[in-house]
Amino acid sequence: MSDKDSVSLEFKGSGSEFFQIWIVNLILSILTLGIYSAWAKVRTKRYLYGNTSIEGASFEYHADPITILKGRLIAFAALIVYSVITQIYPKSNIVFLPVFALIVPWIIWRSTIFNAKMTSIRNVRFGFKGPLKGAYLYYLVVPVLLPLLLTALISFAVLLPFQTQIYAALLIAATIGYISIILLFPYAHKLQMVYFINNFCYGQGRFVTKILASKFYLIDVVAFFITAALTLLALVPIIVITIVAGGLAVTEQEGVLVNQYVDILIGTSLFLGLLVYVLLISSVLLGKAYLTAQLRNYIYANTKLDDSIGLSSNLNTWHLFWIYLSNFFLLVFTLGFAYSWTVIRTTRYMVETVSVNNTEALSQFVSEQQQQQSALGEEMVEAFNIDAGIDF
Amino acid sequence: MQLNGYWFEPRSSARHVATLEVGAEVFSLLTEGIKTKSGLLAELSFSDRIGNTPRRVLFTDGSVFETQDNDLVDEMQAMCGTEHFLSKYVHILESQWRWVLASVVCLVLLGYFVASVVFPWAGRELAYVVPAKVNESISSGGMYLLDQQLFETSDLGKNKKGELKQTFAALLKTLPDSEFDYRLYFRKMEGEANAFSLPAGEIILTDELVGLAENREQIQAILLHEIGHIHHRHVLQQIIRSSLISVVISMATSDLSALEDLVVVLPVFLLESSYSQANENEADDFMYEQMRNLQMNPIHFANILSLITQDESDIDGTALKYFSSHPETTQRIEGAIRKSKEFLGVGGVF
Repeated sequence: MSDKDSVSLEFKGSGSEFFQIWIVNLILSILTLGIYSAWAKVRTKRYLYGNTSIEGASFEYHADPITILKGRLIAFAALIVYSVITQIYPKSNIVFLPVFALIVPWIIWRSTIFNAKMTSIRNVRFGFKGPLKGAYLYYLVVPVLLPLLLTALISFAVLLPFQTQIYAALLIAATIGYISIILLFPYAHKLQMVYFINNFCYGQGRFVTKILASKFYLIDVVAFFITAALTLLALVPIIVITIVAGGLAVTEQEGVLVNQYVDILIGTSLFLGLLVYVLLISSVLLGKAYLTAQLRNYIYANTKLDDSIGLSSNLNTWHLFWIYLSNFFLLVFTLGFAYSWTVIRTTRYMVETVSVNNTEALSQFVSEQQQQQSALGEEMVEAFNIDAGIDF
Repeated sequence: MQLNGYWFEPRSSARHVATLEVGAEVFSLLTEGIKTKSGLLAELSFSDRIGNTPRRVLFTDGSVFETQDNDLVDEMQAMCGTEHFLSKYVHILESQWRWVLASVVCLVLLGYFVASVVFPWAGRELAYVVPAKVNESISSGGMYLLDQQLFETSDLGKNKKGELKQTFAALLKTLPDSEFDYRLYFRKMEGEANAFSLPAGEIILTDELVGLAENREQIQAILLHEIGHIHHRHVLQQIIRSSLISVVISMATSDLSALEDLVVVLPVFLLESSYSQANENEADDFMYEQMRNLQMNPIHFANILSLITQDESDIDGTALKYFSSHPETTQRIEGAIRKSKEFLGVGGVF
């Protein structure tokens, strides 16, 4: 296997063609009071998958809109009940939180199986064979229960002997809990990725990944510092505004305020406010671009299908950042109508940076028996915006 | 008719360059020049057309022919009579710009209709369906939060409070029967001359407002305005509307990431504040109606509003006054003056 026979993925989608599909989807979904949205989802996915290809063979999305609709109706009912109850009784979130924690791993598990089985390329479907207990281990025990347990232990061991005031003790315990959740997150994320990839299959072939938690920690720390640095930079204009406004307030008290000062102050405040806005958005987007690009490149480089077919991704942080940032402003200035172009741009870049080597070996896979799949998990993921952290 | 593409054996990823030849009622499939299969057209099934993505022709044995010749597949489907009704017309909608343009126009009009008619209507209707107990639970939670975060205990003297309570009780007697149990509370709020109402009938006056008022009628005007909010169940309407908005928004933006969700923050804010503006006007109308019954001059409302506005701008300082010139309050004051002229029987245009 040399780099010579590595083949890039191709993406042929176009923003205007996707706009036509998107807008018709939207209007039909509204006119049918949401019923059509199941068909809309299938058409959207089929458009994006169908335009993604390796050596002329495109991906295909197989979900049946009726299956999607059933799952969607249940998820929608759950969302309405949740939304109304928490609006009327804000405190009920305390009850919902543990319930969510208990069902989220199941939802993610079902959704992953569904999405894998509904995807094919070259007439062979993908699949996911991860056990349910893995989902509970990596989405509940490690990222949530372990930090809670650690917090409880540390709080008992350290705080009790000092007989500190109850509020101070609670505050310190909460801080420890928060810190331990953050410290454990990259490790949990790595475990989730390994669980996801190592149980993912293409026909009879298994994906295998060898990734290190230390790399996840490194990437997360750098992304954190990027975001933190830009956020601090955004503080500078805020401080300037405060000082100038403060100075002006003093002159006003002395009764020598001239109206033109007010105009200048307001002009500069608006300009600086805009600067702060752009900097804050950039801080989040640059951190996100760095995280996505580095993690994806790292994971792809260390993942193989059937020990014979290698993957690679060469995303560039700055290029991805530029796409995110320009997409954001495109959406703002077109009131969302540029949505289809932003999706096509992002997808094109994400797809065309992936390459596969040893593509001759792709012909030796065989689909396994298919069973009926329910789309409930997948629809719950969408309705409640659950982030499984496994965009792949 | 001849279609070019790839053929995949049943359940297999092995790929062969292939040609599908279609006759009047039969087809034959050639792979690398050799005839591999043949049969009746009626046995075939097809994937729906979406843009120009590759199409799949499925054979009964589970093998698949994949092709880019979308138009030819459409023709073939028409010949077989297996054309899917929905798929055909949806594709027509999606591929012609005039339909797309019509959709855009339709979408904008619908958005306007939903925001200006459907949401307010649903809020009004549903607010009267919700049991009264819900109002009480919102009230007690709201009062607790306000006391914790905004209010301090009132500094008003016993006499002043008693006097205001008497005014309030006398005012209530003049109102039509109500299912609400109206109660008056006094709180202090640093530098804020204001009045609040909670959905179960609680009305709160701040010391600062009581201090500003020059006479009993001004207080009565404010009380009537607040009773108007409670009478029309504005808090409940607002809760129902924002639940609806959040459900609709979360459906419409389910494809957006958390940050992209920021795009909708401003429109939602503008929408909600336009609704709350409408609530204020409705409460004002309730007040005017009661004032007419009581033979009160609406000028008192104009006076207390001007006093509150002046009071605010004294505190805020020049720079902030520049931003918040209160166009809506000015309008309300002018409205009250107009009503006062009607009341006094002064004709003519202002």
